Amino acid sequence: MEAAPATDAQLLRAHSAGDAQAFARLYDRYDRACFHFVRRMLGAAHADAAEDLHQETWISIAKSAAAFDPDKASFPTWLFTIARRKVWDHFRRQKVAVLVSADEESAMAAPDPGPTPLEQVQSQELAQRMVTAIEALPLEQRSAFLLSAYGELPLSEIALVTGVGLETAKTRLRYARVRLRQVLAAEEADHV
Amino acid sequence: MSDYDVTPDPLDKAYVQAEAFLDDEEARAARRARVLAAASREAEIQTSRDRRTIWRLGGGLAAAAVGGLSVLLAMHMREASAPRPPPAPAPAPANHPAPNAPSMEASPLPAAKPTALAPPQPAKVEAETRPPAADANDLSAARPSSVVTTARRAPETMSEALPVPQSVEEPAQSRPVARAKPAAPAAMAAQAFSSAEKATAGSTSDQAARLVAAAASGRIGEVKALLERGVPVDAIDADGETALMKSIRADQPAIATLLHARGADLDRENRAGESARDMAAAKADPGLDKALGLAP
Repeated sequence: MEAAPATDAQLLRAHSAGDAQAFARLYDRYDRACFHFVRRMLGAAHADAAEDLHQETWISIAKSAAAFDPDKASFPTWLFTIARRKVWDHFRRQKVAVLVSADEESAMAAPDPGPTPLEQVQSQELAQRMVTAIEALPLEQRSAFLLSAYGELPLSEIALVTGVGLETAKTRLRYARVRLRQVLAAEEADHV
Repeated sequence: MSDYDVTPDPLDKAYVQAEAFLDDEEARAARRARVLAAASREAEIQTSRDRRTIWRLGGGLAAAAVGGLSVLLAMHMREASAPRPPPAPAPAPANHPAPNAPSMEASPLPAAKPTALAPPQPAKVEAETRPPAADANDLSAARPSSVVTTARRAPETMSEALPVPQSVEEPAQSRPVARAKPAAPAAMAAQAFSSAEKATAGSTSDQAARLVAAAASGRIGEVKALLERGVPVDAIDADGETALMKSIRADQPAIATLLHARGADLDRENRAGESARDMAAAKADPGLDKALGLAP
């Protein structure tokens, strides 16, 4: 019978105890999710910083592993909280004004266009259009969408990571999806 | 399923597919190597820092021990050099009483009573410093001068004078001196400690250490008082850590908020290269983030 894989918390503890392999295993579990989150949050204009911020995030994890408390939050919640903070710090250093979804209401003004052909991404071009549309989302909506879609976090944890209430997190996620569909549908119409 | 669970959306899957199309495995492998190497370096730094901390702690303890021993030694030497009464005679066999330790059996009332009622004699120190030989030779002089100290001592002396059988092992003259003597060195030591404390209390490093310690322990009143006294808000302790860093580490958001409001630097780094901002990030506490102005 195969042993159950180590939990994130166990790997972190092992890392704190000096097991380098444990950290590598943990990294491999979340590398893609973390990097894509950082990269899409930064958008095309700041894409160059993605590698550094991703690395800084993992260094923070490595340094603070002993402080991780699985009773307070899951590892992905902790990881994305740190990653999100790194992105915000970067924006602050770069003096980028972080607009907090001023246009959330306008996203709901137009009706949800429903499924779009882009929901089945089968080419590089469609993939690029999808991520471009995501990078055009207001930051908070983008954050909620990325955490849900790639991070697979439940709403309660999205709320924790972004420091808002559940209702706000839910609204942001809903707006993000509606807006994405609107943008993708409009692009589709342009292409036809 | 609660209202708050995320309903899977086809868009989520589409996005994951999009990223899979755009993934660059080579870049990913290079990134992995870089991150793991950096993490490994960090672990080494952490280990060496831990070792340094242990050495520093060990050094501190050793210094404290040496300091304590020095104080004890100084006190002991002071005590040793202070004027002493003639050494008490060795307990003599009952049939050969010591000449300078007249027991009650040897001279019960006649010697003691007049002494007890006599006015205080200023000759105490003189009597104490007198060579034992003088006492040995002059019992009548030795007894009053060494037993009678002040008027306050009279009752004790009187009780000693009562015909209670007195042990030969406890010569009468040794008691008053033994009680009176420690007062002087103890008072001097207390004074020395007090003045040492006064001397260091005002020093900047001491006040900085107090600020950092108060922040770590959640003593907000002390933190406020020290800041109001002009202690720099970014003062550091031996590890190069500020009060803000300590308050974040110790989960003291109220103190962190206070220090932040007083202008504490979030980006100043400790000796390990960590800033308060890093520490707050590691805490992943939205409340703390908001308090420190880190949340968007």
